[in-house]
Amino acid sequence: MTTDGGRAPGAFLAVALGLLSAAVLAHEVALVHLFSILHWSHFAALVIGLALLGFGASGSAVAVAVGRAWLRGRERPAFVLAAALAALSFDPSYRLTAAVPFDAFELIAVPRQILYLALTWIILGAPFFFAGAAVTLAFLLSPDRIGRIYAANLLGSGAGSALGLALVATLPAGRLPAAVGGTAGIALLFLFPWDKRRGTRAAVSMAAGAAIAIAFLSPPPVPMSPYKEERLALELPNARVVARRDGPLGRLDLVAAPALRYLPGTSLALDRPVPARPVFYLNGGPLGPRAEAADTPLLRQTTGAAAFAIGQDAPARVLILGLAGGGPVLLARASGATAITVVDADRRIDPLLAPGTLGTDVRRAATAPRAFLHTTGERYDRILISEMGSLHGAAGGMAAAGASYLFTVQGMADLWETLEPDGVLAITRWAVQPPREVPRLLATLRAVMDTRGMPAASRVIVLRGWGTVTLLASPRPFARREVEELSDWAHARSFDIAWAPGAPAAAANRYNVLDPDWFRMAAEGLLRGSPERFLARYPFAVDPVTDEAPFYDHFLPFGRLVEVWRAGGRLALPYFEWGLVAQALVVAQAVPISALLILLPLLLLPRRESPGGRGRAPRFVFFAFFALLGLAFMLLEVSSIQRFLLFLAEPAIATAVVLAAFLVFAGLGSLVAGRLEGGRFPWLPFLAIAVLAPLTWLGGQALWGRFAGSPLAVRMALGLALLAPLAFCMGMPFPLGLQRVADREPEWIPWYWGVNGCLSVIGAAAAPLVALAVGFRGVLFLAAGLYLLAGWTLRRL
Amino acid sequence: MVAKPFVFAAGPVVLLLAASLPLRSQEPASERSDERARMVREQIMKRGIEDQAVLGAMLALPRHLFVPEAHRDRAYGDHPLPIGHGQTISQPYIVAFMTELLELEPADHVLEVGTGTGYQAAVAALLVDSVFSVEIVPELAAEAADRLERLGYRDVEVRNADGYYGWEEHAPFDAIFVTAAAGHVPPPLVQQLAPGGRMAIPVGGPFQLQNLVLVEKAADGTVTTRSVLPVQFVPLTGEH
Repeated sequence: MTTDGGRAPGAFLAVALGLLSAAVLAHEVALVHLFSILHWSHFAALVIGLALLGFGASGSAVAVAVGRAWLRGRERPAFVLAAALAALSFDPSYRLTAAVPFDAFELIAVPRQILYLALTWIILGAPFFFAGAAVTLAFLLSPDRIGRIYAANLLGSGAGSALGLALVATLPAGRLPAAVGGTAGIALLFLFPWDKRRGTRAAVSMAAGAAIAIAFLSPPPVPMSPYKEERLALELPNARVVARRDGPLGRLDLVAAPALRYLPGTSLALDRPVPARPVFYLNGGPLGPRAEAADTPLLRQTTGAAAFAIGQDAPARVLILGLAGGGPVLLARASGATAITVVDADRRIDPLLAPGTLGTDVRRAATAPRAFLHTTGERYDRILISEMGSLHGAAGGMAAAGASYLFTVQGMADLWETLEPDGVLAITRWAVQPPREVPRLLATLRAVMDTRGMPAASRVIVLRGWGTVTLLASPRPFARREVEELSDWAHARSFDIAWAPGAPAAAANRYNVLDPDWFRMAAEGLLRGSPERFLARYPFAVDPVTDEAPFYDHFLPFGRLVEVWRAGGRLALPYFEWGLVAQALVVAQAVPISALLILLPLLLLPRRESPGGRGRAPRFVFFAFFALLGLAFMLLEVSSIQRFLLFLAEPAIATAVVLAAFLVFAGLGSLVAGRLEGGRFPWLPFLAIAVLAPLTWLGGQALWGRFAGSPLAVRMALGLALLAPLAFCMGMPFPLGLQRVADREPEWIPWYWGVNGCLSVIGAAAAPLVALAVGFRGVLFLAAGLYLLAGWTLRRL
Repeated sequence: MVAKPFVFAAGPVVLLLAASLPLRSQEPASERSDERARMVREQIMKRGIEDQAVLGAMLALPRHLFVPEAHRDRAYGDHPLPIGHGQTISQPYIVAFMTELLELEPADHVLEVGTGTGYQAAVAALLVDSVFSVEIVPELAAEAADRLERLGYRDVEVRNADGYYGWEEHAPFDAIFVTAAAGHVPPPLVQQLAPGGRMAIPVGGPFQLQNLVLVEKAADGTVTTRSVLPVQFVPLTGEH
């Protein structure tokens, strides 16, 4: 290690910056994990999205500091200070946030919660602000090495996404912020040899290291929202967490209490109490009770048991999607199944189940249900999807703004192809009213059966209790005799047959009276009549969704939101889709905050002519260039994560692979961007992106078709390889533009960095909303168009 | 939507009814009475609650005395409020709605599962002669019993127990309030419901769409349910 008269050695600066960037990305991953436990994942998106504006704010702050000459001659100590403050603020910012009495649940009723929310994201934004300032200052320190600095930033960030996953997989949630701070602390070590005051720096770094170590050894609490079901269960007398597993799939807890009884959808005719059983919770939401063999008689009193009350013979081969607490396995075994296949991505549950649940008759597949269905090639007598919420919990719980591929038209077709010709598919859901999921499932079943020339009305049964609904569907028509037998079975349990071929309408609304009988209406409208008419008149959007826009949990388009609010006021709040509302809130808040952050430096900076004496146009064109890049990059990145969820099956894996691909290969691209500068074809990367984006999309389709069943490592490698060329090209435009800024007016670098950061936040938050409106293909073409536009503006820079 | 003239016309009737109800609280009846009147008028009557006895009870009962001090300023707001232990006192409209739903008669024997602060039990006690309330959280049960005693609601008996099993010794009940969101209807409660009896129970998980379900037991013992109101109930203790 040598110093060169006080100049930062490029390699050390790059390594330090890479580590700092890795810490920032790892912190993001950690915060998503923490906030999914603390609140709900959509609030995690809201708070973190806003916190990321810290990057934009850092650009503005440094721009003002540079413009006002406050930093003149102090860029290097400022860089070290910013890096040190970032490293030191990861853990405290989380601790302070946990101390703010913010409660997402009260946000609607208590105005001061808005202040708490603002305070939360300001505190959370601090490390992002300091880290962003360090990156900006690094650009200023090495204006001749823009591509290299940017590459270090991107490569570090790419590694950080994997690091974040590794930390989440190995550490308890409370220790994550300190561990991230430790990573950033290592970055400081690389700044020791920077100049002559290395002793002071070493002392500062060691003090920082000690502080981080202390924070790591005394982790802060992770207080779950008091309104989460797990927290409520823990309020019961003598309740305790029997087992806890933290990991990328979320926090899995097994909670026991003498008064904890969880068995949704049981019959009104149940003649004995449901025994207390420990309950599995994922991020605070219930997956199901840890069922025991003795519970089988109770499980037979649920609507889901109808799957085994229909048909002449005992089903031999049963497929269960979603393990829950093992109840479906016990029910299938007790009903005569001899070969049971269980698909659930979360293996952590297995050893916590009651002994004997996963016996030798059970085959276990730890993957996402859709990937299994698409590749199994086997057929089953029964397919059970019975635990409400468990599959969505495993899928990250992003609700309305999140992608879910199991119940798309293509997913339902995969389910259909996995059924024996006389098999039965059974899906159980909460009987909410007006129903949203059930009509969508019926519409999807109808679409799948229509394409096969099968009349749906004779192949579907809708059975409901007081709290749950079970759909039964089969490739063959249900016979009159088996419908009669099922009716007797339902009668004994006070369940209603809302729809079955040949079943009288009078029997549809006998025990659990609804006014109107939404389920009967939906079945009549979607199975017998013209589905289009029903779909047009229904208050919610329940059309089938496709892999192209797989937003299965999205039922309330913005246009109908106001109508619902007017109809029900506060009582309509349960119908609101909070994931979507939160996403829209991020955009709604990010736009004015970004505008402020972008405009403020312009007001505070001394007025100067734009470079080249050509008026203000060039500066505006620079602004447009960096704004377009920020938007387009994030639109492609975020929509790719949602798109690759299908191929890579796990949200955490999809996020890590896509982020790593985009950041690492973009980093490599930025390294070679300098060679294009001054050449004849600087617009080439823009054109390449516009061509590669649709090709990558087509490639994704091909990968899904041919390699969906490949081992995860192969799929990850294929995913990386597919995204690499596109990401490589996407890394070039930013340094190309920034180099031109550095050549003309380097003091404006921070401002453009801030512009890019602000628009990145808006792009990331807007991507799911745009995908909801126009599908993934639409997002892709929009982003490609924005890149072409950016390429066109480059000609004017 | 109810027209405003109806609200204003009904107001004096309700006030008269409220005046005729036995005043059990030692607090002056007039304390925050304007806020209560506004609550009844704007949150409850406007949403279609018409039972004069229920409206009178809501008007008479000083809700703020059932709310923790920290939230007392918002006692008459159109929302639930936290009462500690992860529990809440329900939104006034929900209390009125559930009470109206059960069509209480003065001679009815009433069970409440989930006492909380005792507000719902006190409303019921203004309409019937005997109310039994079960609360699983010991601290809440003790506080509610003390509060009700202090305010003069001696017809309400509070017990610290698991409400899942009801209150066998006092069964059968003509009406049962279950104020905790449930995953299934507890069989002991169905068994303790008298023929012709009614039970109100919310179903669904917290922060999910929930339905308020009316369980009715016919004279011949047949049990039916009726879903009466999609409502976001703030969940209370219990995974029943």
